[in-house]
Amino acid sequence: MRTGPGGALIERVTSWDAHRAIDAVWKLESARIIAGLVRMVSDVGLAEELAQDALLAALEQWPESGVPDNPGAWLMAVAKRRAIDHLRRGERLDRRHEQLAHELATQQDTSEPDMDADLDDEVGDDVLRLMFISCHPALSTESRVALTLRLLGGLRTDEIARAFLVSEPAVAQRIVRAKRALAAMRIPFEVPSEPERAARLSSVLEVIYLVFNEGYAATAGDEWMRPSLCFEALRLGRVLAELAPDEAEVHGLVALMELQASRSATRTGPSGEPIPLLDQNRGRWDQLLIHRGFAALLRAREAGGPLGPYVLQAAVAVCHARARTAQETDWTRIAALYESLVRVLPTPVVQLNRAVALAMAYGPEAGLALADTLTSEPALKGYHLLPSVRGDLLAKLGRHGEAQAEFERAASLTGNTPERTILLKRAAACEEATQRRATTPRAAVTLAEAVSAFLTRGDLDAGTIRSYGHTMGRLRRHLGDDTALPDVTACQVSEVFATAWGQAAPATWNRHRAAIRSFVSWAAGQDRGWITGDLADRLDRRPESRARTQPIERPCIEALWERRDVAPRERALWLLLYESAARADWVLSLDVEDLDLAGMRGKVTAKTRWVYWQSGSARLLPGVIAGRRRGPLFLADRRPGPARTLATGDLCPETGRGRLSYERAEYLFKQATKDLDREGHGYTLHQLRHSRLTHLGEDGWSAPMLMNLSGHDSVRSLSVYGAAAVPHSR
Amino acid sequence: MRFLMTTKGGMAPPDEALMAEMGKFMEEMTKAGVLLAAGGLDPAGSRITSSGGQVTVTDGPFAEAKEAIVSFALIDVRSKEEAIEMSRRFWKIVGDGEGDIRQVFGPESATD
Repeated sequence: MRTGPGGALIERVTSWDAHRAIDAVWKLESARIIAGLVRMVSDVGLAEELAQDALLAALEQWPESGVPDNPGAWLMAVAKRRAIDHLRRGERLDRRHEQLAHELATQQDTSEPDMDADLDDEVGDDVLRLMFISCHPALSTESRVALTLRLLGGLRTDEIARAFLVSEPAVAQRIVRAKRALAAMRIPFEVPSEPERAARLSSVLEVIYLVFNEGYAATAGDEWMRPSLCFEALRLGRVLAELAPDEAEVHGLVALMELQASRSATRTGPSGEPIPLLDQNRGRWDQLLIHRGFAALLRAREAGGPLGPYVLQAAVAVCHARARTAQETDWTRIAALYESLVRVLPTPVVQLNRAVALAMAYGPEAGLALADTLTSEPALKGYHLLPSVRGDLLAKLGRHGEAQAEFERAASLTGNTPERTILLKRAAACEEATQRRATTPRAAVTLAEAVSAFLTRGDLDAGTIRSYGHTMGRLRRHLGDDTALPDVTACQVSEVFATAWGQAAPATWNRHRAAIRSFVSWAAGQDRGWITGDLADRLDRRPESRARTQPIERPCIEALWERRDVAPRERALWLLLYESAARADWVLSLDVEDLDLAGMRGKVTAKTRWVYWQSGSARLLPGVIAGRRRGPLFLADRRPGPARTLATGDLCPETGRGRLSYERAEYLFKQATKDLDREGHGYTLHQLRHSRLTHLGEDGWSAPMLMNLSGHDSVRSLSVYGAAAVPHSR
Repeated sequence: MRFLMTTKGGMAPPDEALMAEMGKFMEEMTKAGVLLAAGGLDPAGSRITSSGGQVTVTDGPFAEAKEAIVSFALIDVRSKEEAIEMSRRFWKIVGDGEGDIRQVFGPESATD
């Protein structure tokens, strides 16, 4: 590679185009320089002119003299000298400027004035102020975008024009207009404070995300410039995150952009056609960016506050990034996140995304029901994704004729050629399916069609549709939408059940079993006769009776308290559960501020009732509280991961850790009691509570006493705790 | 565009002042949204050779310490010129030594 020792390297540097080097320095430094100048001269337009003067000076001098050691400082010094000259002419020089003028004059010849070293923080604040001013909501969106790319990205007018496919004069015009408007309105050069701050910040975030999307969505623009727009937006976001580290939404936006950018290599195929998220090769997603996205979302969580639109969208992106295959995507969670997003950002486009998530989580009917309500939205009139989504859902439901019309409509609305090709292909496929159906007389009904008809039959309420949709959706995913219903066997159904819910609780199993039985009896009904056999034949109902809960024997419980290897948190939780005989979810929901330690009780706020404990717990609780004043009593070991959004009430404001979950607490208890349980499974928290009630019953407590203690609402549900609990039977 | 900047061994060990200055430089690169990852490498390492289906592992250290990469920084910048400018700033701080700048191919390289 190298011809002689070090020789090639030096040659490369000297032949390196000085103008391109200056352009690079300019892009790296211009935001700081312009920001510093705006603070001196209080005028964005003038500041930029002065900075441009400095750039011109560099273009004249550097090719001769070489790039100075600290080029940023060199440019800054020259620009500030021009600024002083300008102020002097206008007799607007104040004392501070005089001092600066003196400093600059005395170090006239040095190329490395050290003046901005100690002003570093101030420079950062200046850049932040510059962001706020160039994204001012009073400016038109396109002006904000152009001005921001120009002032903070150091992009030339021709570069911005190429990125947005507009003429150079048009961009120049936007920038000039923006500068004039800022001067006319006398917008102060400051970081706005509340109440204005939130709106101003969201305007900054909007501009950055708009730039990112312009690069990412490829609606128009020069192929070559588009990646630069994504990069520019990411860079601005990363810079902003350092300048405003307490703003959750800033980190949310950065997380969202990092995660979206992580997929950029897989978003298009070899001929430029878009590849949908679920079909992308996840092995080629950029893990470095994914981890930066996770980290940014964690920072957002640490910043606290209510969940804003960017944080929520980033949380959705995290769900996708975490799924190793498309099938593993947690659509239920994504649907829930969109539910929250709709509340803070109630736009039709968000609703449409929610419809897609609902369809994936609960079946195409659920999604279509929502998508259908959006057809009258004026905002979505020309939006190709609405008919595209509806077409997809209709096709999944086997309604090929309607699907074809939707795909054709979508194709006529999109401006992106590869996308149009794909949509027309799907329309053609739908047409073919319709014809196939017409030419094959009495073709068997497909699984998808049958399920769709079953769920849309009109006499089911929304909750039932959702619940049945979950069951039937799983069946369709496993067996295939186009499978003919008569070909489905009871054996296949039982296999699906075993894989999907074999390990689930009996109640869950039985719920899905009920759904399939309802479907079978409907599909076999007289007017249909689509199936003859009983597809639920091999699915046995699983016992879920309360009597199954076996109490833990007293010696086992005694042994548990004797153990030395139990962590203090677990010991306190278990003892509290046993002493109070309260439901584990109530105990886990206790907050530190709701405890009455002296009264040995804690308030379950959601139920407005008390949990009472005894002296054993009273001794252990202070250790668990550990000086905290607020937040969940029982905390998880670690802070929540990036994909988990916890309600603020479930986060400890002092440690940032989340509330200990039922699942985790149950797991720990099972693990710890494995060797006590004769069957080796370990006991459940419910069994612990149940044991206490049984033991109290044995000790002669009356039913009303037990009800009062435990929160059971009826004597019947208590009757399992032994004859002793019902007084008259004694 | 991503670039991998690497430095080779054989330099004098950094003193405290240099470490502090480097730390500040790294922090600035992070603040500017440029630095993605950085780290120092054990110059010894193990060498893997694959030949005719035979994979051989040789443990270091190796004689030619000057050729071994001892540190790296992965940066995200607009152009090669910006990468070179960053590298220039780095070497201004470090002093004498030798390293490489190599573009890391990504999705955008195809359209360049």
